Amino acid sequence: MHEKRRCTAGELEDAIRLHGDQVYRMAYAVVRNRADADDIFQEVFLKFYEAAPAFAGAEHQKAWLLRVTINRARSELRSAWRRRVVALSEEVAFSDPESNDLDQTLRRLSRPHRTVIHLFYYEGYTTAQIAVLLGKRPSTVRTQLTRARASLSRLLKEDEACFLTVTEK
Amino acid sequence: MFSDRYRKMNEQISPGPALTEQTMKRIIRPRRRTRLVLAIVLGALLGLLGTTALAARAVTGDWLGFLVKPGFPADLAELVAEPDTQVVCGDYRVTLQSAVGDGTAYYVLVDIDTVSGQPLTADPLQPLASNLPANIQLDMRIDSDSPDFSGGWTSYRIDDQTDPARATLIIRASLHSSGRRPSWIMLDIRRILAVVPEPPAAKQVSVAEGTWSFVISGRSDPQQVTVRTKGMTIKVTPLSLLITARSAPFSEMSPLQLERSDGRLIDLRLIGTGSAYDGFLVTHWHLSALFEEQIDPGQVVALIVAGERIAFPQPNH
Repeated sequence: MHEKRRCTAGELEDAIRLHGDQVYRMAYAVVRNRADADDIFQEVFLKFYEAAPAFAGAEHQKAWLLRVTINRARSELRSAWRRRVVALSEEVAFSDPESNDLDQTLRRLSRPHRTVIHLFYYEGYTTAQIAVLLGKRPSTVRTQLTRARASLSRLLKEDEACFLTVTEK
Repeated sequence: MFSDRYRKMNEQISPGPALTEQTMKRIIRPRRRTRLVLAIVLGALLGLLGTTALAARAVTGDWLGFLVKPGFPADLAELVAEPDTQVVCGDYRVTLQSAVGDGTAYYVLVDIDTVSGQPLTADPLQPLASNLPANIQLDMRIDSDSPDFSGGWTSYRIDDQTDPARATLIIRASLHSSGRRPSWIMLDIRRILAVVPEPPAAKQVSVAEGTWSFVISGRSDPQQVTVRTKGMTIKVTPLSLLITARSAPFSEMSPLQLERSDGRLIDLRLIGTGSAYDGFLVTHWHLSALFEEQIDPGQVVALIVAGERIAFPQPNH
C-alpha cells in the first residue's frame, strides 16, 4: 500500500517564500481582517503540504495557491462562526492615511467584488485568466469587474465628499 | 491611479516572520502540536448570576473596581461567580480573575503564567515602556448566545512587567446585536503572543498555542441611551459607545469624544470599525469605543467626532 506523498519541508518553505505574501494578501483582500487571514494562510499551506500537487511551473503553483485561498476565504465568510463573530481589533494599520482610507472603503465592497478587484489590479490577471481561476464564465467575471469598479468609484467619491465636509468646518 | 494606490496598500500587508515560522512548525511537526491542542480544557461554565452590583464591587475589589462608580444609576454586573477559574493547556495557564459587563461592553481581567514557572517566552522578556500596547497579546475569538452579534476587542498588559513568567491583562470587548443582549460570552484564546522590542521596530513572537476558553455568564441590563440622527444609530451604555450606519459616516474618527451636560469631555478609545455581513452582503457599518470608567449615559449631550459635534436630542432614553 502506497503512503500518500507529502511535500518536503524544503518544498513547503520554498512555496511560502515564493508565494506567501501573495497568498496572505489574497486572503486579506477577501476577508479584510488579519485574524482570519492568518488562519487562511496556515490552512492553505497545510493543504499544499498534504496534497503535494505537481505543478508545471511557478505561475501554475501560484494560481493553485490563490484558488485554494479564495475557496478557503469563501468558506470562512460562510461559516456560522464568521457570521457570529467579527473581529475588529486586528485591523491592519497602514503607514499612510490614503491606504487606511482605501482599506476602509474596500471593506464596504462585497466579497466577490473584492476578489476580482484584487486579482485584476494586484495580481494583474486578465478577466479570462480570472474566469479560469474562479471557475466562472469570462462574461460573468467581466460583469463583476464592471460592477465592482462602479461600486468602488461611488464609494471613493462618497468618502471624498465626506472628507471635504468634515475638513471645511 | 487606483491600481498604484491599491498596490501600495497591498505592499504593506505581509504574513510576517512570526506567522511564517509558526506555519512551518505547525505543519512539519504536527504531532507535537497535536499534543498541545489535545490538552484543551474548557473553562468552567459559570452559572447565571443574580448578583447585585454591590456584590460585584466586593468581588472586583482592587482590579476592575476602578470601572464601577458607586451611586451611579446604571449599575454594572459582575459576571464571574468564582474568581480564579483556571484553564491549563500545555504548560500555560490562564486564570480568569474577574469580569464586569453591561451587556454590550465587557472588561475581563486575566493572569497568564506557566505551571512550571518557566518564562512566557524562550527569549527573556525585556521591560517595555509603560505605554500601550503591552508586550503580551492574545489571538482570541469571541462567541455569544446573541444572534448575529459583532464587535471588537483588545487587550492591555497592566502588571509591572518584571516577572518573565507571568502577565496580567485586561481584555476589553465590545459587542452589539440587533437582537437581545447576550446571557453569556465565550472568550476563546488560541494563541499567546509576545511583542519583543527589536529596534527600530518590535518583533512579535508566538509564546504558546492551544485553547483556553472561558464562558462568562450573567445578564446585565443597565441604562443606555439610543439616538438616531443623520442616518446613524448611536448607542451609549455605561461602558461603551456604539455607532451603526448603512455606510461609514466619517472619514476621520479621531479624536472621538462624548460631551456631558456639565461640559466635561470624555475621551474615548476606539476599539474598531468595520462592516457586518449577511452572507456576502454588507448590511451595515459600525464603530465601537470603550470608556475608561463607568459613565451615566443619561448625562451625555453630544458626540464629537474629529471636531464635528453631533448633539443628542434631550431627553431620548
